[in-house]
Amino acid sequence: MFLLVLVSVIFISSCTNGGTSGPETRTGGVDMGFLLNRPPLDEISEGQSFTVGVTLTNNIPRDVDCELCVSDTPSDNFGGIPGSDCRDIDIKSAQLINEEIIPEMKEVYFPGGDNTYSYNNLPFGADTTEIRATLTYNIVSRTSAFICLIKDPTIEIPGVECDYQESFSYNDLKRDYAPVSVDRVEKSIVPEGTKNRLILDITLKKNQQGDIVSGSYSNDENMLVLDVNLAGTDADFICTPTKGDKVKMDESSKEVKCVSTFKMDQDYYEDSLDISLSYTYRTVINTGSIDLNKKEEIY
Amino acid sequence: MRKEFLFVVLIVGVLLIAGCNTGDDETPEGPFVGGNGGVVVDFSDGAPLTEFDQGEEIPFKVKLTNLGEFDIPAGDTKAKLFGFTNFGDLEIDTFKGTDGILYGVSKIREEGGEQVIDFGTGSYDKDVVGEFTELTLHSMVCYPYETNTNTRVCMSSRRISETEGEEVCSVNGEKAISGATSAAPIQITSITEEFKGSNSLLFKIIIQNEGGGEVIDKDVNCEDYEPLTDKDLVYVNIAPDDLVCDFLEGEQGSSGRIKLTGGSKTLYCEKEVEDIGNSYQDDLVIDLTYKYMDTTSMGVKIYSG
Repeated sequence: MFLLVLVSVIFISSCTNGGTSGPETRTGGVDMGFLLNRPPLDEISEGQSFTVGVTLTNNIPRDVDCELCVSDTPSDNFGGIPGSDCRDIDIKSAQLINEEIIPEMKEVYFPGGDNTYSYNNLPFGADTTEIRATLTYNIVSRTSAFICLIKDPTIEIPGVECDYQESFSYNDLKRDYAPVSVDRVEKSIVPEGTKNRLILDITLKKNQQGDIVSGSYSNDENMLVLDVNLAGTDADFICTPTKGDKVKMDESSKEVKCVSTFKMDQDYYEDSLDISLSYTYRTVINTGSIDLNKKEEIY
Repeated sequence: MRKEFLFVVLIVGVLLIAGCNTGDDETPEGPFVGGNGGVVVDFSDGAPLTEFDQGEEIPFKVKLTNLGEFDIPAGDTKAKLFGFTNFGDLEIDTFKGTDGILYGVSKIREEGGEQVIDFGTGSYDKDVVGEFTELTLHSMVCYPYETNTNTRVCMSSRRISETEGEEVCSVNGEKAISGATSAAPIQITSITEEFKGSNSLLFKIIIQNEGGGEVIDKDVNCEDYEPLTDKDLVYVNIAPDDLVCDFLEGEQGSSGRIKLTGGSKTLYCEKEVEDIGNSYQDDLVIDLTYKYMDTTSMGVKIYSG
């Protein structure tokens, strides 16, 4: 099995068209980088044809619909990339084999087909260009852990260990690869009459290479939809601080407290705590400054 | 010559090994097999499988094996699945009884009786994040049980001992000899005697939970068990019935309840010994009646479907 994984990794690696160059993202969701010499990163001459190639790497175990746009800094009067050249891309899900993620990769070329970009009219004021690729996609990332629920923490149940307080660190949680992840969950359960109150302190962490933007899940920047559930328990969670079901993720880390009071069917059981985060995520890569060489006029 | 030498060496070796037996495999002296076995609960092989897919219909069965010496009537040994959820219509946290008698071991029947309780099938019906998830399944058995002790004690008194009465036995020494107590999770681990006053004997009887499970009162239904009130209670009945023992809440007599503290209780009983001119041996019969609970668990891997 190990050999199969190794061969798969080597095969996937060899499928890339000569590797990437320049900046690339490592967000844990869909990552991207410029393909080698697409565009050339040192200089582009006036009239020289070039294309922009972006490699997309999906680490998420679900198909992702993305919008990938490329643009440059000089105005359209100098040719180059006209406005923002955008394309909708479907990228297949990553594979999970023996708990190892085997990402799905895709190369996208702009402007596509046999077409190319080129700069012109450079003597009228364009000395450099920066080419930027912007990737926007919707993501629903899930995190889960089995938590033990006990009606009365003072009562011992033979053969069972269940503390009323329990901590789950990053490695204890099962999760999708995603740019915003659940980093830690602290559980405490206390009896409340015939019911139990479950308190979850959830720490979210955001990869700083991208931003949560307005999109399908929220009209506001930096807002993500948080949904907390116990798979086998009728429990409604109220989380704070939130705006409706949305959490403002304006920093790299955020702590959210979610509380639910419910009646337990058994004195003790383990249930699957499922946390889903839904948001629109955007990452940008930039070639940095590329020199534009003017064509020498002969009078 | 060489073959003969080897044969002699072999024979000597066998004799030496045989001679090394220190007698640890001692035969019980009392009427019982002995030991601390009760009913052992296990998930049946393949029910459930240790790894299965989300949505796959999986059988759930538990196997009960009686390693003690008390036969449990049909239906009285109950088991339930507990500690997990999300398996559709699978009956969880509901006790089901055995269909047949769960026979115990004896000197004639060396292997304990077995019964299987079938809980039907269930499938994990929730999403699995990642390639698989791991879950611990639990099962609990609850059953009525008895521990029986039958041993010989010495009926004597200081008056008999210190006067010219004939001593046919000694009050000194351990009376809970090997095999005196039946195999059961609650054991009588020590019975000693000492003189009290001029004509009484004091019996010190140590009762211990050695089964690793939980003891509950004999009259409590498994379904209604309340740890705060029902835990660690054992009903004791002693013969001869003129022994006066100190039971729970100041009750005195030859029968009553005791509460194990930290899994153990020393019961003190007194007997007035009539001076018939000599000491004599008598049977001390102690029956402990209780319900017992034990659990088992197994980890399963559920793969995303």
